[in-house]
Amino acid sequence: MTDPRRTTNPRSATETSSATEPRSATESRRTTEQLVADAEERLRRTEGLPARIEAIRGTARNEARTIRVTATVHGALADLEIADEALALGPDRLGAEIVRLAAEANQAALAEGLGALSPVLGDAGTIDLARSIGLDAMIDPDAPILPYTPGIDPNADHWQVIDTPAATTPDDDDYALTFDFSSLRSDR
Amino acid sequence: MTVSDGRPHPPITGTASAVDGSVTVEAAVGGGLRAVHLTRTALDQDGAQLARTVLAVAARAAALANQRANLAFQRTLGRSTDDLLAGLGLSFPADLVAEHEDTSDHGVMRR
Repeated sequence: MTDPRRTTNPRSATETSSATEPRSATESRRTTEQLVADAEERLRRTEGLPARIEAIRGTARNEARTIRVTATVHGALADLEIADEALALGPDRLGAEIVRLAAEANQAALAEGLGALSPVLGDAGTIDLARSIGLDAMIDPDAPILPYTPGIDPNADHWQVIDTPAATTPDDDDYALTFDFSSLRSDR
Repeated sequence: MTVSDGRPHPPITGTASAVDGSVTVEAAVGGGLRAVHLTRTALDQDGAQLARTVLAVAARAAALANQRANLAFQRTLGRSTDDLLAGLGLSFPADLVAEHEDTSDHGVMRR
């Protein structure tokens, strides 16, 4: 398969924005217009978010499909259906089954809530939240974590794109102490 | 239970029972079910009726747990935390947590 743009223009889009191009240096600094657009995008993504999370419902059924439990992200029962056949389980097993299915329904609601929050939280924030609400099993250990989401910068705390420079050796310190900084001054 | 005793606190929960005591639900803050206790008589009604009873009792248990959490936050922060709880989606409607002294014998019991 041939990309027609490649045949007409040998400089592909990735090439023009490569790190060696001087243009990318200006692109990495966001303009005021871009920053305002970023802020507006963040507002758009968080608009009505609590209400959206609140409205989420998770559902779980038992294998016999005689009990159906609906729960909120907080775990509260939102709906419960018990078929008459389920009464045959007896009081203890029926009660325990409702508790078990409610937890399952809650997990389903939490998973959906996590999905609703992830565009706002970014990758790292989503994974932190998944761990804190007990959805560790959903985390793909091999999934790439993008350090930056355009318009959203919730991962700033987690940036580790550039390794922290190694501590300076004693030799470097000696050099720094003996180095004449005035030699760098352009006005001499 | 005090805030400064340095020991781990038992979870804040709310417990409510149906009029006849046939359904008792213990809920955590937020409403997550910790236990649903049914008696034999609870199974005398049909499934739909039992479901409605469990839902109603669970809602009261959850509201009580949320109210207790609110009180704990209030004590710790020294100010009203009603808005904080509401912001978290943890409600405790007055009709679910109000004391029913006059109906305590036959209304929903709370502890």
